[in-house]
Amino acid sequence: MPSTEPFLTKLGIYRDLCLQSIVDFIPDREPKKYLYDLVTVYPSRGGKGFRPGLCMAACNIFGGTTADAMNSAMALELFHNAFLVHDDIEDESDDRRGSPTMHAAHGVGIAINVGDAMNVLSIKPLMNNIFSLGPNLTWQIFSEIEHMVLESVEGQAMELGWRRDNSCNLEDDDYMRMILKKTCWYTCMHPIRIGALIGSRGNVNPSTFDRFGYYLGAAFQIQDDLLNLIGDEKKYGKEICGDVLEGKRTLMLIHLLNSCTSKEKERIQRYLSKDRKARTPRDVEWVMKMMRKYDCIAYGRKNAQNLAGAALKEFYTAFGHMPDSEDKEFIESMILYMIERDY
Amino acid sequence: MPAKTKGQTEQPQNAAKQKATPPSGINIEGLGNIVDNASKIVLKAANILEEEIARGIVTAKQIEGKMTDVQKLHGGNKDELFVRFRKDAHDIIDLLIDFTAITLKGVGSLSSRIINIKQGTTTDTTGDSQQIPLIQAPKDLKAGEVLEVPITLENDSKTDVKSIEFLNTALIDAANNQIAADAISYDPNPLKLQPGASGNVKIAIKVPQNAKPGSYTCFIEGRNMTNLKATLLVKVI
Repeated sequence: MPSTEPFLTKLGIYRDLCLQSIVDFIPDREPKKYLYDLVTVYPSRGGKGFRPGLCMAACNIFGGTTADAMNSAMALELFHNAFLVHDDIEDESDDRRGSPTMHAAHGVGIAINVGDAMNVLSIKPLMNNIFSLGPNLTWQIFSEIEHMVLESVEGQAMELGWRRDNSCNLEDDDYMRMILKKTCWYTCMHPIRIGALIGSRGNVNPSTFDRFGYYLGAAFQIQDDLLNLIGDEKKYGKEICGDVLEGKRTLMLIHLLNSCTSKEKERIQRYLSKDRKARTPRDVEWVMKMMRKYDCIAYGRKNAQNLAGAALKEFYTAFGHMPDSEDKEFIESMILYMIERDY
Repeated sequence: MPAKTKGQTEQPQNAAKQKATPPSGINIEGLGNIVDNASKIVLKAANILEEEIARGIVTAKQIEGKMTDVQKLHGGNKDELFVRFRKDAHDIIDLLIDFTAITLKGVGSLSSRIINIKQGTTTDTTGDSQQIPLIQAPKDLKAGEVLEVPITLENDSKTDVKSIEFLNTALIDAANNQIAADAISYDPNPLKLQPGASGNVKIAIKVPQNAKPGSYTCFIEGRNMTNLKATLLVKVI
């Protein structure tokens, strides 16, 4: 297993290339203060750039170039950041990558509009694919994106619905289905599928990468949820235990609800039924104490590791036959990074 | 449904694959000795992925009949595509339908491993061997009702005898209501097919008393068979 340092270097290169293309692409016209200047705020905050990185690397592995994948990578990154802006409103989050969220800094109305703009702006690069990739592949990538966006909003709807209805009888299966839809399709599965389709000029079966992408994305999401509970706030860039405060149904919370006594479960349910503003630091501290009591952190960590192990196995199935290259090593290294990362 | 085996994914040369795959149980730094340790969560994930993909195929198939001009677009030129992008709102509907058609094609190409399947006396009408066949229950069912759906399978192989042991996932609808996998049974199971021969199997669907109304789908496959997959659609009213 390669180390994560060259991986981070390459990830940074792909991220910066994509960011520069996005900055160059944003219309240089008014209204800047209330719209176009804000469109690059989230992408410029040092996001990791997994999606463009995976898309460009997969494209290179299958015979294409970074430039071939750039339009699609830009669209993925713009969609991702649009999701983040809107998610932060839906989740009532205060911090994003170490700074106030878009709505906290500029108001809900402006933030919703900036998110809408990013969604719309992502369409043009996909249209521009026609010049380099031709109509058939352009169309196929549109269909990939359509599926990706639909799955993501369905996954988000599931999670928001659980919180609104204070669902407390969830199983691991429910969580795994929700993150497949909300996170995995758009974080890993579609970026790889799209990159490989472009690189091979439509000559690979994109479903070959689904299992790898799902396991990788699931390991990433569980690790993200773990960091929210026990990470270093400065490195992680979000409020620690923010998920507990938001009542987010993580694998660890679901494990707690299924492990604790009925009396403890009643207390957790009461806590989760409160408005976010009514939840106190003391409440959060008690939930964390319960998570420690029932080894929820270890449970999450073990499952993230198992999923990463499964992702590694699937990596050899999906990519093993391709010639060795920096990009192949890059994707392999991402597996270890997903469960070792501390931000 | 059990996790799909490695051999089921479309894969390249075995020799290259063997070279690239690490030995079983290898201890890889950072991941520990977990590479070959199947865990519950991984098996769950594999099943969920199959179910979700199967559901996507059914959704796409349900509107397949509405496709009108997909072929025209597939063979079209850049100018035509741009005109399509720029036309008025009426065309947006066409665009959405076209997207779905290609999604169907993409998802259908999950499987280039269909052996001919007939429902009753009707041959699969898609005419596209890249798509996973849809077996639709011929009538809507009520809770507690039982229905048998006869299926004909043909063994395309000229040399191999096929013994097909049928497996299926739980039935699930759009609202995530579920009917347990054992509500479906097969007679005979396994089904033995001589080379070039066809045979019948009855798929029995027993809808539980407490089943909620909805359009339920599940994924059917043959154990250890890479070339037999189908989606079953059952409407409970």
